[in-house]
Amino acid sequence: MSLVRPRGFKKTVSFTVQPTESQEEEIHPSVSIPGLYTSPLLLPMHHLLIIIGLFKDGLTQNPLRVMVKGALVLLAVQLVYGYVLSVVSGADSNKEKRGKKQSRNFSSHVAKVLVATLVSLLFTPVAFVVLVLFGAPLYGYLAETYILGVHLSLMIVQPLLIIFGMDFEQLYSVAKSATVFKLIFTNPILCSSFFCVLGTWLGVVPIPLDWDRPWQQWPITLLAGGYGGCVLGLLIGYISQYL
Amino acid sequence: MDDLHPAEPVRKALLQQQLQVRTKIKHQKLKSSFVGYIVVLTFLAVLQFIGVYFFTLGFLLSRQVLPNIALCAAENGASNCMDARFSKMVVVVIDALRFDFVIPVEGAAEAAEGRLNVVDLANPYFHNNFPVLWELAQEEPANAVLLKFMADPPTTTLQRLKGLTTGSLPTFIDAGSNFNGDAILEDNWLLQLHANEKRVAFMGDDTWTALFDQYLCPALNFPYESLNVWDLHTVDNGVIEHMFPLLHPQNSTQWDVLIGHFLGVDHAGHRYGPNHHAMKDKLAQMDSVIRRIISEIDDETLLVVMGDHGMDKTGNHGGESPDELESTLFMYSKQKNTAFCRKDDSFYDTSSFGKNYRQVNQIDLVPTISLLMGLPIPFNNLGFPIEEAFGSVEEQLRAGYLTTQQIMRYRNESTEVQGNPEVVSLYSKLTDLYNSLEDGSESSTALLEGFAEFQSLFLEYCKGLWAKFDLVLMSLGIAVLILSLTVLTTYSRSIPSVRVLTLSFEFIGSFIAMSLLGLVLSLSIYVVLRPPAVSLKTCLLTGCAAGITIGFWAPIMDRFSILWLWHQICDFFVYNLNFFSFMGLFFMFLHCLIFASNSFVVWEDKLILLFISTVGFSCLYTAAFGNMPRAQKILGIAHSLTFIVLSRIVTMINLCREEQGSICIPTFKTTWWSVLLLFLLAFIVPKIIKSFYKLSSSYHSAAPLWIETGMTFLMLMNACYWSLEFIENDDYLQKYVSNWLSLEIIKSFKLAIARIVLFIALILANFSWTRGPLCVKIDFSRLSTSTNEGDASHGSEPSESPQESERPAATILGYENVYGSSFFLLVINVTVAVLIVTKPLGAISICILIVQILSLLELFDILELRRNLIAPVTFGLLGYQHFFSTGHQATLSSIQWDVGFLTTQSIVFPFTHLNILLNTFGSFFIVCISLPLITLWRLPPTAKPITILSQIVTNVTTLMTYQTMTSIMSFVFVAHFRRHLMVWKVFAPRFMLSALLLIVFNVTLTLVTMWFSTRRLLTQVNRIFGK
Repeated sequence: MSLVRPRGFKKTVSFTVQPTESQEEEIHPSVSIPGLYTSPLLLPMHHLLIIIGLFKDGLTQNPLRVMVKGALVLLAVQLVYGYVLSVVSGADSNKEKRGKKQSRNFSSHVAKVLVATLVSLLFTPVAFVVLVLFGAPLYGYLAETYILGVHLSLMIVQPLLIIFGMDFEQLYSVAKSATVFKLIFTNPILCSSFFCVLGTWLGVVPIPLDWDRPWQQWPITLLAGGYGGCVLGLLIGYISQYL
Repeated sequence: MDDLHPAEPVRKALLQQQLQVRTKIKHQKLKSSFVGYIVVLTFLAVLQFIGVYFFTLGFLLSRQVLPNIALCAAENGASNCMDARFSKMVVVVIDALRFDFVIPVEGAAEAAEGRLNVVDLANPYFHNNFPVLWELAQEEPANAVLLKFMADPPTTTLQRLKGLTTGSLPTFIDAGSNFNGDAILEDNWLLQLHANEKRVAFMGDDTWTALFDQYLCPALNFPYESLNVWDLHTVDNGVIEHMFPLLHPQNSTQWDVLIGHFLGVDHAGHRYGPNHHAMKDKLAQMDSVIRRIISEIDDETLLVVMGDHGMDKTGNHGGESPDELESTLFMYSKQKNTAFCRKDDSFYDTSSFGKNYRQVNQIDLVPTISLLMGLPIPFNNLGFPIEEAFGSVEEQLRAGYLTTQQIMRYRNESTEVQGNPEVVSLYSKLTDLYNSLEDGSESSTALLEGFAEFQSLFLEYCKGLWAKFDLVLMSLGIAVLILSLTVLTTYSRSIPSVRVLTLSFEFIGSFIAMSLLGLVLSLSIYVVLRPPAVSLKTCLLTGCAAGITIGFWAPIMDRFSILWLWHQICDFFVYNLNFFSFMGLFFMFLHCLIFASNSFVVWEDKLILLFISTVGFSCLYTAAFGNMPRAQKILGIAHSLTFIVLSRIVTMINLCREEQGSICIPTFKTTWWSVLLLFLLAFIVPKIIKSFYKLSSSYHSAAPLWIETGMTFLMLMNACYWSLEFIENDDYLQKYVSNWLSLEIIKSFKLAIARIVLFIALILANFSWTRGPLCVKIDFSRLSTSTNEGDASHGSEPSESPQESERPAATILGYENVYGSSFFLLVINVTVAVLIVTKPLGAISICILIVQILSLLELFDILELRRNLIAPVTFGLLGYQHFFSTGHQATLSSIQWDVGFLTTQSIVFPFTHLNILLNTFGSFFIVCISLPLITLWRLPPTAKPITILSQIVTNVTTLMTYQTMTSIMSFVFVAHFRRHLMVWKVFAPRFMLSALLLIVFNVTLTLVTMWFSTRRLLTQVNRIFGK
């Protein structure tokens, strides 16, 4: 507004105070995500290996069978990764007592990972419905879409549940926060989930192209996009912590 | 102070008066500000029209038509004609006679062996019902020949008739003029017949009369209305009625050439599709007609039976799929000695629907007919004589030689086809060979092939050449459009809204002055400099466009600097860019990018759904995690879910375009359940709208009349109309009903219903809307309501001031949605009008659109997205979504021509066109007209109507920017891909859609949205409530 050159006519400008970010922070106390995510152990890039493995295993020849197989592999890997994540990030509230109760900690971590995996598997029908609402085909391909939903919920929901320790209240407050994007981009796990969604969304783009490639079959590009996004997001989130 | 005290009442009265004057001035200001906006928008529209016009002129192809008429006498004394082999000719054109209709298809036996899948089975409706042509070709091989007849796209009757008579290639621009065909002036065989004093009798499709009226024998000319596709029999019966008396030996001296054009097959295809018993009946009728003609003709008559194009699997045509291009040619003569020279049987392979059957081009008929009838070949002909039609190799050679000479003469005369020297060398080689030829039969076949090669070489060259575009005009068009885009964005985003109003008046003057100046300047440039290759129209329009642009920028440059305006735009990105506006920009960007690939244009409908559901899910997220009261949150979530689910459901109604292939399953058919749903919707939709009105407690006074009475009634009428239509089309029901109700009565019922509904919806309801219905109710009974609402009720009675109201406080129910509830009534009017011209499944889609719009409006209110960029963009996306789900695609063949005959039996200028327009762009009309609701929905009467107005204008210009951007990109890419394989199939139809949409958006938004509705509503509410 200050750049308006005065030209000798009267004008009225009403200034309204724009709520800036700092003010918003004052209104809503800043939300943080529990845990530390600086350990390089968080970067095993297993997703990359799985998706490459799926393609090598003939994803383009028989998508459904390979995807079911892949979902089982992903389930196993996510269980291990979830445990690593849970331990390394120390998202537990009783961080300071870690030394003393090593054995109890182990079982609690395992329990947490198992519950999180179970809940994320329960989430698959929701993922399926969302995929259909976004335009997944309804005639045929239902099984493929469902398996894609399994993959996605394992990749997106399970890590989130682990780092929030099944604390939905906190997850809700993060989603509600005005600085949700800042939070997402500075946390590898959140960032990975976010990019997984984004990657799947962008995964539909190559399907209509008339290249007649086998990988243009229905869920393959979405799956690859999801996995790719997951890896990319993890990297971005990991690096941006140090920026 | 003291001396003023006794004059307190006077002061008060003065104040009152002052207030009144101020209100009046404010009201006046509001009214005049509308003038400013509308004038600016009008000039912008003019600018865009000029851009569209330039581009269209440069893009749609043109061909140089030579006025030369061929003569029999050649320069060197030789003749350009052959001796007439037939003295008379009967030409029977059966419109849309696809090739596989006339050949035997033996799918049933092969399918039993399990070799073929179901698709390859013979169809009981259109296969094997017209066997006479094939039977004759088999039984009398010396006297009959049946060939596959390949049309050049576009496959519309007018284009085909031009090709079939002149032998030249059609250009694309003519495709649009199918409604008023212009007379053909270039050389054609009808002209030659006329010039050689042969009498041509004609009966059938009146397109012929439009094209060749001057060459037809006036006493023997029986044209019939051709575009009424609902009528299967009038034309055919008329042709039969006039043809057979003329064929009778005692009358056959009256004519030399008889042309009959049957339309029944084409109309059956358009109306019912090929899979219908009407098609079977029609083909059987044609079979008997041809048999009868054959029994009537004498030995000296040549019978030519042909189709002008085929039809696709839905029965429509216009494009260039094999089904549309493959037609039939049959020639027959009773001459005793061998009439035709049939080739080896392996050429006539009828397996797999005649895929490998010998084919000839449609233009090849032209030299064939001319030479057989002893006429010179039309001057512009590019075709090659059909070998079978000539009795011996010598004749074939002679025909090939004459045609080659004619093509060469054409090449020498025309200035635009001289670019390929290899044709000349080939020609001289061939003529030398021909002249030195004695009668060695081996070399003569080689020579014949040489002639054919010469012709095909030249034809390919011409085809390539006539796809030549005027790049200067195209770039000029794009440049004008880009200028209009900068004007639009500057006007809507860069200039502070406080200034826009004052500037608008300066714009009026400068627009008029500058465009006049531009006109005068360009005229003088044209007169003085006489630039070559620039027409006066182009020159003037360029001047006008430049004038408008300068007229816009002059007052702006006077006030602001470019740098500052640029900073304004940057500021938008820095400060206003939240998640939603980013998403809006992103979708605009992506929608522009789809034009870069034919695949994305083909699958545009699916992409639109992806965008819309993303908006829906983002709204859901914001509603679920936003900071708002619990009740609001639940409402927000509910509305988002409604929106998402409805968007998904509506995309299940679709019509596939050919390029989408087997992946796409079309669902857009009129079925019994869709008609039943119409009845159900007639009750449900008004109820839903009512519940939305109830949410803002504005279901009062005008609303019940409009929604529960009017809308339900009209929608019931609509359902009745389409059930009658369904009864008429369904075999079983038709037989059942016709026992007690004649079809004529049903037809007149339908006409009456459609006319009544359209009249009420478009004229009566809109007129009553201009009287200003408000959906409010003054409620005196409630005393406990807040006082500020009570205050406003006295606005119309200036004698009272707020302090004096001692009576029970009156509440105005529906006060908080005064604008929205009233405005939506207009949307209902338009919706009902669109509903009647939309087929049942499309009507369901339109109903869903209305609910989607209402949910979205509530969402925008709850999530405070009214002023966000995403709001108008989502509206635009909704328009596209429902364009596709009302059974349209960006192709010519998906235009639902048949709805043109809803209100009239024949083509009557405004009504037929209005119906087709409403049908094609219905969703866009609704979206454009409901656009101000983004601002107005749930808005209580405001003291600052001008602010509201400026917000509406921002939304209007944003939607226009969105459309302009997609249109520009569509133009740019159709220009870029002008040599692309898919240009006429994918890019060009999409370009036409973009161009038309730009015009529709401009006209609707400026005239209807701003001028007709918003102006009226805002001034009216301001008059009543504004103080």
